[in-house]
Amino acid sequence: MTYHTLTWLAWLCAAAFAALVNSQPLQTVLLILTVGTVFTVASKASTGGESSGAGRHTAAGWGTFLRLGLWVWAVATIFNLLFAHAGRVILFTLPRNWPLIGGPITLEALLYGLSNGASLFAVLLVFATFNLALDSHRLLRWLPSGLFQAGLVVSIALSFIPQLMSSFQEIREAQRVRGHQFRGLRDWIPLFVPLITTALERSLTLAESMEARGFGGIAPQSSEAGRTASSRSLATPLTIVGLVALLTGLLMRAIVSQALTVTTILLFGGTIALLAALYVQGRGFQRSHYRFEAWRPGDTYVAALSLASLVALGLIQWRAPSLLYYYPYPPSSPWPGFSPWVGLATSLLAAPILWWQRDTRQPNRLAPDHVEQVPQGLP
Amino acid sequence: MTERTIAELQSVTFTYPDSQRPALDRLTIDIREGEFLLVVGPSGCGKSTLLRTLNGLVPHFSGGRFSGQVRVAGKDPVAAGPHEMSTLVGLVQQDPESQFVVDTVEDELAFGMENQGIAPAVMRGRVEEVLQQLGIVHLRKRRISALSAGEKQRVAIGSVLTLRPRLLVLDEPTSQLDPRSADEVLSTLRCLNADLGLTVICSEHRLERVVPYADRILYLSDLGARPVLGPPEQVLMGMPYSPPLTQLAKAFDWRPVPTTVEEAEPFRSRLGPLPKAYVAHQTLVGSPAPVVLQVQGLYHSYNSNGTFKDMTSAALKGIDFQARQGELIALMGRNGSGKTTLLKHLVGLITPQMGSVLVHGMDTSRTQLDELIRHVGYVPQDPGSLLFADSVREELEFTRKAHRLPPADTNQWLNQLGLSRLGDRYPRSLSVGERQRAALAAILVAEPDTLLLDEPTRGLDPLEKQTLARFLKAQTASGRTVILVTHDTELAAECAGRIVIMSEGRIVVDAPPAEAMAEAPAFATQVARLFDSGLLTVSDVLEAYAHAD
Repeated sequence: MTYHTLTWLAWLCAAAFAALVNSQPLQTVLLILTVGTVFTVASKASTGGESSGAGRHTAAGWGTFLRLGLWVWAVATIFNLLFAHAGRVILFTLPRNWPLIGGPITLEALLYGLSNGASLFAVLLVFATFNLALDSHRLLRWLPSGLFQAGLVVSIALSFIPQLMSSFQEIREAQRVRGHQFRGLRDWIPLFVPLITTALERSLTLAESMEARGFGGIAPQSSEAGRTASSRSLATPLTIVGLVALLTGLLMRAIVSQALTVTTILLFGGTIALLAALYVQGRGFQRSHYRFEAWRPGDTYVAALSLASLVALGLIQWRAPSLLYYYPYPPSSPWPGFSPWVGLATSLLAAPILWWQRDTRQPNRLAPDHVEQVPQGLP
Repeated sequence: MTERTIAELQSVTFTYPDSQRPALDRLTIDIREGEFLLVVGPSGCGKSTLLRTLNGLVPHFSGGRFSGQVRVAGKDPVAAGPHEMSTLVGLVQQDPESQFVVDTVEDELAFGMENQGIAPAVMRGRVEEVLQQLGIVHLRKRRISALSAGEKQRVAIGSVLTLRPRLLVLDEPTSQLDPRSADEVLSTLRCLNADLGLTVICSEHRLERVVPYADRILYLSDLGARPVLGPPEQVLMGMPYSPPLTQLAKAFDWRPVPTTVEEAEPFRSRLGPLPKAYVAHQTLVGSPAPVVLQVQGLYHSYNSNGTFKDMTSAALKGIDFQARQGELIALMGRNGSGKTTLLKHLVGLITPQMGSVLVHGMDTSRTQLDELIRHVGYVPQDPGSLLFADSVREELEFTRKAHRLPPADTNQWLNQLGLSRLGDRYPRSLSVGERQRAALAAILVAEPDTLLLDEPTRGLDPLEKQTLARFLKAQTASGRTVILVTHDTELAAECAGRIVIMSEGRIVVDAPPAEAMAEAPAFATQVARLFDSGLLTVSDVLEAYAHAD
């Protein structure tokens, strides 16, 4: 375990923003190198820290995911190279009568393909790093309480996948030994019917077990019952108002591009109303958390640097968007630019590696014995 | 023990949705505070339904029609619902695999408390306490997926104990455990019951295991007869099937009825020495049957590529084993000792990394799977893995077709396995025992020479088990070889001609049942532990002493 969940969330926002707004290839390469370093450190930490093989497993899993990402990059490049015939610098020409790919193959097309693939890969890398560094269960507790249940369901569904894979294997073997051969599409029925029914039976057991341990219930506190009821009745109108405002705002943005202030107010107001509805809804659920996360000085630094990067790139995007935008085809120049300001903002994203090393020497930073905490938000 | 009532049911009738027959019929019982109550009865008698009534899952989760009065620890579960009951009643399910929500032991123990909004400081204290009570402190940070079945079941118990329930309710908690893990879990329960005064209510099929721990037994029969609730001796004597010691007590009129081997010891010595004339389990002398399965120097590792430098992690470490035609061999051992891996080698699902496996003279690493499965049938642990068709009969026809065999008379197999009335039923709607038999029929219909079964007795009640034992014995009489992976010592004693015990990837015992059970007491039946002269089952004893008269 490394940083506080909120720190990682701040980092994710900044890194994802950087990956999404920037298309200048040199800057993208810098971003990939920066985030790649964080990924390497994260995978080292997750393999070294854990005694069981599970950590190694996760790291290997995301490694495979990224190898897949490299293929995506390569395919995107080749695709653009062969199909976009625009540009002045011609590398070679394919016979005109070849369908689609025939014609001049240009340097611009190669550069554009490479840069697009790089942007795509950068996005994948950011999410892989985030997932590797942060366990999904830690993320859950920061969801608004109203969304907690939905979040838990998603996280259980994810953990069902390995179980499903192993029963898939079992059933396939059992049917195979029964003489069945899997050739056509219809041959898969003897596999999928048992797979689905087994999974359903298992999930019913799990549901019972969760229900028997009080999941999803509202512990009724007699003194608070009234307040809870009244605040929950507030949730519905808030949700409706919020949704209407948000939808009107989006429509106005799409259709009438003039009334900017009104649109902005509607969009902002709608979002706030929805968040408030979630908060009000969530007050009905009394839930505490066993895991406690400490906020360390390292968290402050990393979060601050991530936010600085986010703000800097946001300002650049607002005042000088051309620094982030890459278009190699004429009339622009095919040569990518590099802005030191963007470079600086990007390299701030390496912040997690700076305070990480010190932390890994205290593997038990989340262990309850080290923590004294005042219960909060409890009856 | 106090005589205060902690739970009572009055004239409770419950019918599941889509069902005509009530699962509970005007049931009236009381449960005393601090007692260890064992709930027994044939499958489908309503044991699980009763247990789920105590915390309101029935009727809240199940739906259905409910009438009657229930009071548990001063509350009405029907009115309160499972959420509110969760702090009073802890429910542990049969399958340790499918009841976990999060990945680590500690988090799982805290899950119930988080739902209740219990303060973090209190949670830490309770997690600590429960880890110690169950003797699993060392597992605290472990991932649940990496635990053994016995450890998982103890974590499941812990995950409900942290809510400090007043009743602990367990639905067949040991049915998937090997004898030793089962004993560990049961003695944990006994400690909780004795030291903390926790009321324990537990259903179980393998009576001989649990009876010694029980204060009272509730016997539910499925045929609408009145349920019987009382002290173990009394209830056991009135049941149609009972553990070996009770059967002996009935036969020799032992009073009071012993429930443990120690208690039975004085009665046995009164029986006098074994009559000389009797020779246990005579072996037929004759030319030995041909060898059909031959395993030599077999090694297997799930994470190796054929080099066995690191032997500690190997699943099989040098197996030598053979089976002759018509033999019935019970393959036993703790969970994870390599039994299933060996079985998969015998059917060709895994080919040897080192060593060799010959099936009916064919080397499995050089023979097509289709050729092998003409001779070997395999019934997996979960019969549900096989069943997918719309009727039992179609399952049988499907197997014939898959083996490219001409259509055959399926009725013959349905009759033999007592499924004649169920031929047109949807396989998934059958009871556990019926499903098991349907799967067995679906494999046998291809008429394999060798039959491999992986844990066929999961969830079967004693009568169903006896039927299965008789059926398998009849199969070997007609020349079929049967290999059975099982945790059930009574079943092994009943039908096996040879017992093979595995431990950590090695065969440690390979002998006729009497010798095997003498060598590995953990896998011995009650009778074998009581009489150390080669007697294994009640019928052995009765036969031996009949010679005396």
